[in-house]
Amino acid sequence: MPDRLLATSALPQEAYRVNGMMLSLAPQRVTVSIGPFAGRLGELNAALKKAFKVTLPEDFITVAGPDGLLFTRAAHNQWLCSAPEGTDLLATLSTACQSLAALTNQSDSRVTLTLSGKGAESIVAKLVALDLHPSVFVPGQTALTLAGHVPVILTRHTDATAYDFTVFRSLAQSLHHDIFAAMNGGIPTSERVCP
Amino acid sequence: MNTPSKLSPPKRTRANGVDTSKALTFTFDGRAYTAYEGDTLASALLANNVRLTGRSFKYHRPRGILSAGPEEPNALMELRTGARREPNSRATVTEVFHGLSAASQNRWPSLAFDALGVNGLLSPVFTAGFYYKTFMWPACFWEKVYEPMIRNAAGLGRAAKEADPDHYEQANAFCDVLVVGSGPAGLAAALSAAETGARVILCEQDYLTGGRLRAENITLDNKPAWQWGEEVTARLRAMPNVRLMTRSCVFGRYDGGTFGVIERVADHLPQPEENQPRQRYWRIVAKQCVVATGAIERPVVFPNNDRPGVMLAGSVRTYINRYGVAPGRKAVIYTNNDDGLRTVTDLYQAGADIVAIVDARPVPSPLAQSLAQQTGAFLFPGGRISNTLGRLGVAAAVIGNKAGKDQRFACDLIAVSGGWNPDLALTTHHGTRPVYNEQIAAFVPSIKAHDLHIAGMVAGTLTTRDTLHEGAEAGRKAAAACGFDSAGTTELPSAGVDETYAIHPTWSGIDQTAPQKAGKAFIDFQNDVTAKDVKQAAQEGFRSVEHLKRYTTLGMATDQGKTSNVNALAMLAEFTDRTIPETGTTLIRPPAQPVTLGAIAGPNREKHFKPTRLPPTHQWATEQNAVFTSNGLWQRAQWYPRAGETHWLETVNREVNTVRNAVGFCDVTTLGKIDIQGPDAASFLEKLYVNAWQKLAVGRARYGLMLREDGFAFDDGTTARLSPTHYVMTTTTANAGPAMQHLEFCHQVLWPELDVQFISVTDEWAQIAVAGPNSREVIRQLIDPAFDISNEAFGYMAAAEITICGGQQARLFRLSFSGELAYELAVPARFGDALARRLMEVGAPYGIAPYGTEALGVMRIEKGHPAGPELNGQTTAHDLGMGRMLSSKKEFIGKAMAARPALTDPRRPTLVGLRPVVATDALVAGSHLLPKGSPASAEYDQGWISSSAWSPTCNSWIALGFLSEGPSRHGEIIAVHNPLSGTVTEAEIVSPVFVDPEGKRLHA
Repeated sequence: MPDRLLATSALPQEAYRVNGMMLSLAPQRVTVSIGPFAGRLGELNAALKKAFKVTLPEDFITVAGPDGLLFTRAAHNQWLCSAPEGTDLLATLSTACQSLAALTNQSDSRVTLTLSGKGAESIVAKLVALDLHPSVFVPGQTALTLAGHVPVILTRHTDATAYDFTVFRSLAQSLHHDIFAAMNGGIPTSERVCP
Repeated sequence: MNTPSKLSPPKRTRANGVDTSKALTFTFDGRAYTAYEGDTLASALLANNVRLTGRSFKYHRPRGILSAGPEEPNALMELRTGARREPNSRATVTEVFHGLSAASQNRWPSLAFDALGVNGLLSPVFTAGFYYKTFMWPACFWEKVYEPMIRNAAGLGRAAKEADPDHYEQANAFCDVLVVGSGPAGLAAALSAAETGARVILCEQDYLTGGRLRAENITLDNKPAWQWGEEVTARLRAMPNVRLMTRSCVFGRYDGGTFGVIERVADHLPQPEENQPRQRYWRIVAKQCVVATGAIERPVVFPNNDRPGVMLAGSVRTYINRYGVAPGRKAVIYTNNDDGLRTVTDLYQAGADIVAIVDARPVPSPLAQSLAQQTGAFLFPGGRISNTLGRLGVAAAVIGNKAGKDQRFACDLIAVSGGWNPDLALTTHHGTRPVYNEQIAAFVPSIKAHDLHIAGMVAGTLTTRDTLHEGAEAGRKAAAACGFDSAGTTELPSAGVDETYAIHPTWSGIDQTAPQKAGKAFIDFQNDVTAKDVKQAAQEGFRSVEHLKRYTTLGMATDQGKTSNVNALAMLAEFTDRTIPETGTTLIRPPAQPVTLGAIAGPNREKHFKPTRLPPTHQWATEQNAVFTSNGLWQRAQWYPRAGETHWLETVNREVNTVRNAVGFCDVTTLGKIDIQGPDAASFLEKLYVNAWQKLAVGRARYGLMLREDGFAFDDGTTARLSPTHYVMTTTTANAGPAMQHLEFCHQVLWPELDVQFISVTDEWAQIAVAGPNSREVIRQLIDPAFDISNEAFGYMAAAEITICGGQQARLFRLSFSGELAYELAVPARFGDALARRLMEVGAPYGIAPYGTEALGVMRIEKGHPAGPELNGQTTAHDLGMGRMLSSKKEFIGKAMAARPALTDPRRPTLVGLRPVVATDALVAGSHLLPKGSPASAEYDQGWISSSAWSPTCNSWIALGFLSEGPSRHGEIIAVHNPLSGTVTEAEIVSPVFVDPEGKRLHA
């Protein structure tokens, strides 16, 4: 029997640091998309509540469940559930909500890049045409948007200091280049940098 | 007067905008000069007594600095050298830096002696419409002879020949209130809006805030007004809800409160610092906007009004007050309003002699009389300047008094003021034309938008006090419209006595009884358009200002007629016996000021022009020296050259032969993959595809064709059934996105009742096609023993979820695009790279080799599979030979329209194979198919070749194409006409399936 195949990351693991900011690959997590079947959202939420003590968020935010589970509103009638690497998430969710929703493994389809550090907001603003003011794009909020020409799921960390760009794996290198170029371009002198 | 001073620049007095402790050196036309930090190139040249700065566009007349702002039509320079050389840069907004190299343009061999100055002698023929009337015959001469010749003679600067070495950024910003302009109105607006707590962005095109507060010698609270400006600026900078952007020009107002802004990040530096962008293109979205862009002074049109030394009166004051530079020592002031008279005071206080005051107003102005008395100047009430004299700069003015008698005065400066035009470009970008205000003889904004406020001189308000109050009120109103409490009041300084204006609309000093006598009277300096040109256009029937503009070229180029448009239309009104409101004005479109093309492109240039998608095996393929090609955004391996192979075709032939005779593999991850689940998943597929899906067994895959609603073929691919309610669909690489959109539209809009969910899994799975007679043996090395992949157990079009390499999750499909025994093996994307490496290891004993998209293409043509060139949006299922797939037992997208007679006409070009009579005669895609012996004309055109390739399997060129009544013409010899090479090749019409038509190989 041949040896098991080794996993390869879409991007190098090393973090890039520029002007006090850091761009790094977020730890790999297991991810499953949840697409509730017609008219089953209520039952699905009840099942999730029973199993994980959470319901799917209506707003574009992320809510946390037990054992590191995160539920993110990702699109129309679609959520992403993620869990720490090693979790048999598909089986766990199937047990909890079989026949109530389409469950699809998405662990390898997306890569998350984290941009952190003072001034990160001004770098995000070079790529994303969203109002990032903390009163508008509040910590913990998520948006499906474009970073330059690349579609991303953008999430602001709950502590407001960092942003996650979740991107299709095949586009990860392009996005990494674009964020890195924006970081190198510096923080515009007119920017108000959040303390 | 054009000899530059050999001494250090004179000591600057009263300058509020330069730091005289910081001296800089720069060169102009190779000669070194000194400037101070804060100088513009224009102020530095004037300080060094350089008045001749360029040659005019058409007549190559000597020109100097007219203005002190972005409206400058004359002083256009080439800045820097080499790849960073930038032409047509306005000296009046160019910040001097140490080592700046500036050069005049549009002259040869030198600025002082320009050989093409002879054009001026030919001016009688160079009138409006000269090119249109003259260079008409022969027509073919225009492109090859006339246009290059004209472009050589006329023109502005030279662009760099090298690629732009700098980089540019784009950025987004949002606010409640955007304030454009930081003069008194803008500062007051920003302050009052910010005090309510609103998020404010203040954009100032200049590198200093203050606007007119710096340009004029005025006081606020008994202090120089610019000091109040600096105090407010400091307050705004300290407010957390304010972003202050200097060197940032708002050039366009777009829909939804969106504004385009160009920030000059590093133009004031010799070159950008490492990684620093040269410019940044901002998209600012504002809920409310206060336009406080001020006004632009207009000249007066009089004979020879373009000599260096003729300047706008307000600009003269700017040079005195902001830069501490008096642009002349002996001055004549020519004005039709009180504002122009302020130049008398400022010049006099700066030590200049006031030779004469020409007040064009018919009623003598008491202020003018008083100033004349005070300065000892001659006063000409109701007078005009009837001519100027001087070779490379003005040396004398000929002044006509009210009675028409001329008198000559030596001078080196003529300061002119024809009144002020509100700088209202941003208010017209949505198509609202301004209206004429008789009281100030100018067009003012008429726009009534809920999110736009106009304040200060741009609104036609001309006193400092009113400007401040109007600004503050506009700022509060804008903030209130955003929901902020605007109850408080903003503390404003006392402006003292109001300024007076008292304009009389005098547009020109031309003696209409003998207009040609004195010389050219310029309206548009940048395009050399004269009063005579406007008159001629009017005489030739050009009554619309829009037509006047295009016929005379008035108001074009970098200044967009900022100093000329109103004078021109006023004169057009005069020549056509209409009022100015009746004549109207042109609309101003974005950009309000020039925007560098590089900034519009931003960081998206060269290989980063668009993002790229990389399949999981990309790194491995790179290590194999693969040559890559673009498939949409994807980068795919096109072929894998080996040592000793000297031509790509040699490589591709080897790859095809490897697959046909042994085994090869190819990354097909790029095909779109859509996971479809739900009780109605099968019904969903039934409606999407032309063929049947309900009875597809679990563990089987089927080829499907989708049509558009208009009945034409849209996309194809295979879909496998993984469980009764779970399918995985594949699409073509190029159409993956559109196919997903199509599915979303169908589900959300057409059939929301269907209980189905779907999501892309294209990136989730690395999918590799393993093809060739040895493919089963190769993948058997990987697949866990529990899974039987024998032909009996896992036949053609089987599909299964399996495990490989001791329990790793995978999917296996028995599909073939090549026509060989073949499989597609899918693993989670992170294992794609390792799978390719493992296939090379375990496949080595079976002769395995990777193959690229080129070999893939050859083999699918050999097998007669349609692909992108065949599914080009213009072909139907019938055309593709798939007419019989269209189910008559169900409804599907495109069914009704596909039944239209025109789409089922047997004479339509239909898919055929083509093989040249002489095997080595190349068949080229795009060639036309004609009956043998017919002339190559559209009349005999019966079809075309869509795909072609050299087939190492057939040892011949082969092609797929579409031919009228094609299927019934197999065996016929036809002419293949390639109009690009002018060749005609004979080819036999054959079945599109060249290899294994019985399908024995793929069922093996």
